Amino acid sequence: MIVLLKLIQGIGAGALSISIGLLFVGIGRKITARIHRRYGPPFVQNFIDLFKLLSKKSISHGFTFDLGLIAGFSALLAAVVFLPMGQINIFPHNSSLIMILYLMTMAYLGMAMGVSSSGNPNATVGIARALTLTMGYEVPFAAVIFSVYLFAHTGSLTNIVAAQSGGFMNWNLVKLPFGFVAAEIALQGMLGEAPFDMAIAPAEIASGPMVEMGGKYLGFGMLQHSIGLFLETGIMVDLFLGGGSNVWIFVIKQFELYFLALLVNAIFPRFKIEDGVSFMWKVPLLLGIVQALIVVL
Amino acid sequence: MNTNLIWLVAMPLIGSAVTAVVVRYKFLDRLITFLTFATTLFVLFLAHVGQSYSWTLKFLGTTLNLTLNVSHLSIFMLYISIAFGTVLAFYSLIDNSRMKGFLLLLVLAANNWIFMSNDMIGFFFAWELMGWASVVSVLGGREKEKSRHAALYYAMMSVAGSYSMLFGIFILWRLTGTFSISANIAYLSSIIGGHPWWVLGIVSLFFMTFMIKSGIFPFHTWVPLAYAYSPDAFTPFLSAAMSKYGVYGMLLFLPLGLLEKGFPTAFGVPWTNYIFLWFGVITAVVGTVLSIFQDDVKKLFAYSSLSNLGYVVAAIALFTPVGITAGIYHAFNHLLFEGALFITLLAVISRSGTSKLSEMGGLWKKMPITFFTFFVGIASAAGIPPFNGFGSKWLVYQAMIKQHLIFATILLFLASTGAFMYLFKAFHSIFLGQLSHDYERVKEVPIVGQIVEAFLMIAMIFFGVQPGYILKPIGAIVKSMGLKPLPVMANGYVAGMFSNVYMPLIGWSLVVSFIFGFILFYVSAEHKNVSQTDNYTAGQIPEDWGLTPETYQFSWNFYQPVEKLFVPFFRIKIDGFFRGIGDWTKATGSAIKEIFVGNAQMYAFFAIVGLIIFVIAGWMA
Repeated sequence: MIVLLKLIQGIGAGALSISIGLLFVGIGRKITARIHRRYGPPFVQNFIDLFKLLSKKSISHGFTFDLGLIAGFSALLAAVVFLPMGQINIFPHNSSLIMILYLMTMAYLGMAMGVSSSGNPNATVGIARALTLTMGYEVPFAAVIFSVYLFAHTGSLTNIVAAQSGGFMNWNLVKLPFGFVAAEIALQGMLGEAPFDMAIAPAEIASGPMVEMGGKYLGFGMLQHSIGLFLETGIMVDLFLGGGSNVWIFVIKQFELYFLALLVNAIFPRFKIEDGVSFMWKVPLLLGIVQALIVVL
Repeated sequence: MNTNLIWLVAMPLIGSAVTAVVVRYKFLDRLITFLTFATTLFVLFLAHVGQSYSWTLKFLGTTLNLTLNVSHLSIFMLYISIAFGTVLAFYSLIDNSRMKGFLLLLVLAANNWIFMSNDMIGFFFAWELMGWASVVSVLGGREKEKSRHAALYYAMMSVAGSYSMLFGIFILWRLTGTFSISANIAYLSSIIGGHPWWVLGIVSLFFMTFMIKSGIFPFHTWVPLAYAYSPDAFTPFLSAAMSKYGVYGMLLFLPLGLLEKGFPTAFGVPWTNYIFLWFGVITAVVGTVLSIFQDDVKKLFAYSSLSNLGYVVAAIALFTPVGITAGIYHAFNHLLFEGALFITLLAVISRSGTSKLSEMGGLWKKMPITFFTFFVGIASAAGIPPFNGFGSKWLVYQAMIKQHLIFATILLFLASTGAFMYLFKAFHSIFLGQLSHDYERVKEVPIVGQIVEAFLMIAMIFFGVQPGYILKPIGAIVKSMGLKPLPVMANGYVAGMFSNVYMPLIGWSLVVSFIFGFILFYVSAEHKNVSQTDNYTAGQIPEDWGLTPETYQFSWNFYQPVEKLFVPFFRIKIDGFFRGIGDWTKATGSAIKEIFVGNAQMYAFFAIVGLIIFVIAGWMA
């Protein structure tokens, strides 16, 4: 019985993350358009796109191509169920932050496997860039994880959220301000928004990983992007913004973070890959280390 | 008196003698090797913790006590190394590299002796046996000239380590009059309060040996050479099992630092351990960074292997319950995934005939079982749950965070993401991308190889989902070292300092979401498969450019932008330092040779001076 209940809850969490993620991207397109003084597509455009893509015939480059893209989508779905989202917390005793981060890499490994088995070098160049950038932002993020772990004396997201209950002044945003800024910059890299969008640079490497995708494959890529967006902003909300008393407040907080990322994205040009990494190893890393030292001392 | 322990050493020696006779009949040689491994594994089932066997040896008027002793740590190490060796020996039935079965069995005998020995003479003898058998094994690589050079380099490093250990052994013998390891360690811990520098000096002599064997920075330079140019079938054992001898030795001596309460500490760790920890962290980072730029796949995984040993050393250096657990657990995980990865590489290299990443590509269609084993292997090595490798990395981080070690934590995270980079590079360059025309006729390895690969794949998933089967014996080891073991709940749990993870739940979550993924995939519109050259090329026709699958494959200079980030560090050449010592030794040696060869009187003079020193030394002793 409990298994069935958790299964249904998990499916619900997955559906929620997909729809919120798609909605976010849709609103994001609208906001970016308005910053650029365009009208922009309707905010449900992404749902329409998804249905269109899933119902189109497409070409495949073999079994690993299929499996990789399915893995990219499914592994993120598997990670979403461990994320505490407001009052929805399906597995409260199993929400270790590092575990969720490492489970997410399964999705990226799957995605990388799929697109590079397409045999197009542009895709592989994109993946190589994405991985290089990962090395950049994981380092400041490690400093942030360190600070949060020691500050809250726990590694479980459930307990980190619980430790922040009782109003704005208890949020880690206030308690760990340098860590928050460092994590915000790292988040920009995780989301792949400008100035850290070298992995999908359309003009240089023909959209990188997406180059061989069409039809349902592009649809799966879109789904993966949406869930990834939901997860990454969700982790940030749990870490710094005190989670949420219910799921809608949680989503609004997520949107605030995404909105911030969008504004930066809309006005910044692109870093060169090595410059992006060395930026990550300078400013955010320094902030993260300052925060960690404050926590330790 | 448990005579069964003798058989653990004697059985491989007998097997080795038999295989040495039939060495010309390859299959027979491999078959006897495999049977000996299997029998040794069977003999091991009879061994239990607490058993011991000792015999005395009269040598030049001195009585030597040789003791074999089974502790919690030794039985754990014996099980994992012999079990892996058996799997490898089974694979080697179909292997055609120039590995010699009798050398592998000599290493096995030494392996068992090292893990059981409780006297320094036996330990040293076994260490030498292992060293020389493996050096000779390295000689049989694919590229003769290079493997000769690698074996020489490895031999030199081994000899340096052995001298260092021999020196330490005799200092200790001089001080205590006994060769027993446990008695000497007890003696060292009794004087550590009064003479910390003495103890540090003696222990450093041993640690140099162990660090050389495990390839810890700055002694890592032999590892890539020996791994890359040894016979492909021997490399898995070299990487998976033999790198653990150093770890085992370190674990024997590490308890010393904790015994003295007034010992100065850094971050709650005795400062000696703190310095030692940094050797581990630097190894992890150096191994990862150098691995990213390799084109030879065996070199790439050699650096990967030593990077993982950096994690092990960093964790055990802490000598906290979680640190020791994490270290031994990672040592086990490293054995499993690195062994599996090297066995898949053996399969790939035997079929493609090259170990250059830039010459491979697209092999997944030809070798599906190898491909999936490799996939699970790199997922484990990258620390992705629920495969093995996650739990130990996760515990290592927690052990570091617990001791407030900011920079070590950050650098280990860097090493972990870097690991993801080189693992993907190898994955892509071997199995994904365009299949070259040269490999159109490549076939999957024979059925024996497929069985071994599938077995290792299942093992990696099993020990990932059910870590309790490994954590329980590790708990016993931690307890036997006088520390409080981490709680072991059910078999599926990894219990950390900051939170727990229930691995089967992650497994089920993945299974359910993959089912959804496949359902969604198959209910959406259909797809058709196209040929590998049917790619997006911005409207150009690939034939017009003269493009072939070989030229439409991205595998050369894979992480070229990253190189620019690390340029300042590449100027430091550790290898150059050792070569400098080598040149200096050569110059000194030839100068000495001049003295000896040049003049007979001079020669006689030195002989007499030597004799006088010898007599005086003997008289004073």
